[in-house]
Amino acid sequence: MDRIADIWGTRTPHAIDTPWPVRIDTHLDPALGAGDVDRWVQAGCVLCSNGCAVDIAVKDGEMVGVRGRGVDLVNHGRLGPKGLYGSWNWSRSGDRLTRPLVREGGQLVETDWDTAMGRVVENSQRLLEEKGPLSHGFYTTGQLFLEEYYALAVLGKAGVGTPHMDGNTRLCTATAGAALKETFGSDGQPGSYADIESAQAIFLYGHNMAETQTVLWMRVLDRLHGPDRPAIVCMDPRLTPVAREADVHLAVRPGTNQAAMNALIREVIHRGWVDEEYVAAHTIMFDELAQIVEPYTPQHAGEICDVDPADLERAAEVFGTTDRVLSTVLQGFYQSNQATAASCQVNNLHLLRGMLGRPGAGILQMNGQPTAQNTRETGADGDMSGFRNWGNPAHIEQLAELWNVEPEVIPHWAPPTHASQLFRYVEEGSIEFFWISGTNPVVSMPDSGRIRRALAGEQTFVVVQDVFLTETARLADVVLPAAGWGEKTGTMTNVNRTVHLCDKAVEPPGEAKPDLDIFLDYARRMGFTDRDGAPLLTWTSPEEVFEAWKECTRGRPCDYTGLSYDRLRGGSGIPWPVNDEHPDGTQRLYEDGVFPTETDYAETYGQDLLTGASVSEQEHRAMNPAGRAMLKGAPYVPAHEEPDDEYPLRLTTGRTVYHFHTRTKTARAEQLRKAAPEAWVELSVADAGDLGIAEGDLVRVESRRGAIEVPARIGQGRTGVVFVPFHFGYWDEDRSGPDGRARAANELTLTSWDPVSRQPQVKNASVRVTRVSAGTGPSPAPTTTASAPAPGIEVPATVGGPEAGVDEQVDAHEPPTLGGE
Amino acid sequence: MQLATYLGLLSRSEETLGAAFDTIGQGHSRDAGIYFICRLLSGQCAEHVADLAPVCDRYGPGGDPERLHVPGVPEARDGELGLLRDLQELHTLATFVGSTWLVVSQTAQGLRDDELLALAKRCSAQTTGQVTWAQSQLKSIAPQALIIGSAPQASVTG
Repeated sequence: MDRIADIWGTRTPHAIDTPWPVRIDTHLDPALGAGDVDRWVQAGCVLCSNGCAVDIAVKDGEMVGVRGRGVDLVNHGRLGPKGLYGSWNWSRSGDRLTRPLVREGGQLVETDWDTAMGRVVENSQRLLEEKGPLSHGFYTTGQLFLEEYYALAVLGKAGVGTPHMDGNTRLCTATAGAALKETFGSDGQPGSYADIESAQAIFLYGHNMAETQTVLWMRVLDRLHGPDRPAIVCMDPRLTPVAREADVHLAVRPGTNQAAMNALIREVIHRGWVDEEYVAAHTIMFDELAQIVEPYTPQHAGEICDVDPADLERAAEVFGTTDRVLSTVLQGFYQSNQATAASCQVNNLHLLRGMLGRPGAGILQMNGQPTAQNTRETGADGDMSGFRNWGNPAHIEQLAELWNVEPEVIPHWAPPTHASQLFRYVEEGSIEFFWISGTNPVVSMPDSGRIRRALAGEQTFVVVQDVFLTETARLADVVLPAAGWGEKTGTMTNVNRTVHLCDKAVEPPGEAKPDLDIFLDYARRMGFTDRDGAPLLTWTSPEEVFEAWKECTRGRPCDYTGLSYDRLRGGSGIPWPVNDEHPDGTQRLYEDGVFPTETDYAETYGQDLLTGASVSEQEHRAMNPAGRAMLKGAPYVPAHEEPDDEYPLRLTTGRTVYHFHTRTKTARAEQLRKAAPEAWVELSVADAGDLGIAEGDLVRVESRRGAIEVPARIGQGRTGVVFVPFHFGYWDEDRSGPDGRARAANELTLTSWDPVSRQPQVKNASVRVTRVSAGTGPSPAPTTTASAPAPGIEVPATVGGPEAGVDEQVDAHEPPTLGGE
Repeated sequence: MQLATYLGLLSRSEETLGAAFDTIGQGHSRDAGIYFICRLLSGQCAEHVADLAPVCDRYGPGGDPERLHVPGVPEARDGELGLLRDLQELHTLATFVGSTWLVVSQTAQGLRDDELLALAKRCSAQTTGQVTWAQSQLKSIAPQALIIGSAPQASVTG
């Protein structure tokens, strides 16, 4: 089967409350057959956040394909197009970084590890001596392994002692974590993917699951094609594949999610659908919430959101009259106006209806990256390791004991510094030593021009650790070549807390090293010590780090103590907590309605949803949550940038199914690159008509920050809204910036963030669009996805051809169950 | 009765605070977190002034002794240290507005003016939020500004 043309593959429909059938997907190098494979190596897929279990095919010391693991709870054997085609091709790419680079006379030149690390350590030591730890910043990713993040977190907090640590997870998943913390007291996904099998309705909030987590969408499709179809409610301004399946599609004006959510909550309250017993026993702050949402009648919210009030009423009715609803939330909420507030309202709806902790009644606050959960758990995003509270001295004391350092070494006077602030400090020269690992902020952060200037400036020494010479790496002072997925060992945890082991399949090329080895080498060369003068990080292998991490999680919500590398080999991934109480792992959290909000245990005392101001320990104690969830509300406030006469259209940015992030891996897979070869802009039929723009015309999209020129797709989005995919930068044309030919979406976006999660708001900017010239053919946008052309516009269908062949083995064996029950 | 005088003071203090949020927010527009929240909080002050107007009308004109008023912020200061000092300015002004609401609220209780009491409850909760926000920002940026920040410029001393 061609899984470029048929993204979700063969349907395996089934009835409610029956297991999701197995379907094992395999794709090998087209020149090879199954018999040619030397061995298969177990891993988890890292090309979206779903966390599918996969076996890597190895031949002659190279990765040559992948096969889904049918025994795994997450994917029951299936893989998506990115995983199938994009997982392994990049590793053989001729342009891998194989030696360290240092800047000499303005140019990056090859060198050896001693020279490169010598420069890193010299600068780091000098600055620590002259200015102290606040001169240092670390910006990592959502794509390394747990062990690598934990090592980074320890060296950053207890070695250097800086609060300036974050990951690009700030861009993808910070709001998921923040919303869970604000409502439930701690991060930790309440629901499970298995809730899809039992749900009677599924609400997708700003979540184009069909493109962002294709395998999860297959799971939904198999219910939609089954005998008792769940109702689908979709909140998304675009006509996505999800919206096409929806019973109610709320195509809200971008930036108005909070108004729509307040209306849904108001309806649930007014129409008597609240589970009063559950609310009384398991929540606080109901009266405040009811008061906040009171003005948001369907009519009022309908005006703000520009949707039919009857649709808001219908959506509320589905929620209010269905016993088992599953909600999923992603970037349409997280990267938009009032991100945390709106995401908390999803939690609130479930609490009001008592729909948590039982099959089919769950919440999935999604992640955008495969190992983002680990960035959050370990504290590589600046949080305190093991979901500990920076404001709670006892929690800091626990970490100090674990690491054998003085508590004062660990910065905990304020929330950790978030990504946008890191770059602000770099821009100002306040951070003079900045280490970026496994991410490409020049393309992924808002206002690319500003990020480029900050990193290219002389004021800060920039280290970039990556697999390829990205746009960001081109601006570095030292570039460290890293081993990629399949070339190193480690664990990863996905959206529904499932931990997978990824074993090393092949050797990294040249002198490239696992990220863990690089971090440990830095720590050793820096001579970081504990309070007894012994080396701070003594680990030599990922398994040793994992064992140490287990101790860090003991007694915390993300308890890993019952796991080991051995337990993770052979069978399925296992969802935490895994401990004496839950030896086989845990399907759903909060079955008993008891939440980690107790003041001494919570991961946070909370924040004001409107301003982000921190709630103090005393205020938290006074609320006495004591295991009850918090129904936090907020009024709607307009987005930071609203359209006006000068820039009359709303820009929203996002993904396409065929690429991941800045395409460093996916564009190196022929099938994926051909499916979406170039950037484009989507315009509605009405806007294109007004502007005199036809399919394929070259158009200029301009904001107050910058401009891009890309071909136009006349699509099916709502009038007044312009969509640009965020994947496309400049590395494949050997440059770090536009150089007169700008095409990166973030040239246009605004530096602004959600006050609570600090997630950048890359889905809210105002732009104007003008026609530059006629095109030579249709735009390169795929036809199989949300970027499908409007009816009547003829464009060749997106296909993969013979190179994209995938073998699908349906019903290969019985579906797996948690703990083999 | 002097309540009218204090309602006038409150209204003008809210205006002064709102203007300070605007001035300081715009002055630090490259710090997006400061800029956008200042804009939001300035809007709250404007709403408070609008909501106070009918109450002021009801109690009629009061005295307007100049010595009661707090001075505003004529311009934002430069740099990290300037931002720190400006946030202190907002913290001080918002605290003053908060205590003025307290005075008005106590008086409203004495007068059994439920309408004013409800308004005071709602607005002073937002004012408390403003104070807390300024405090959170101060806590976050103080170490960076004082340990790493560049030397103060002449304008910082204002």
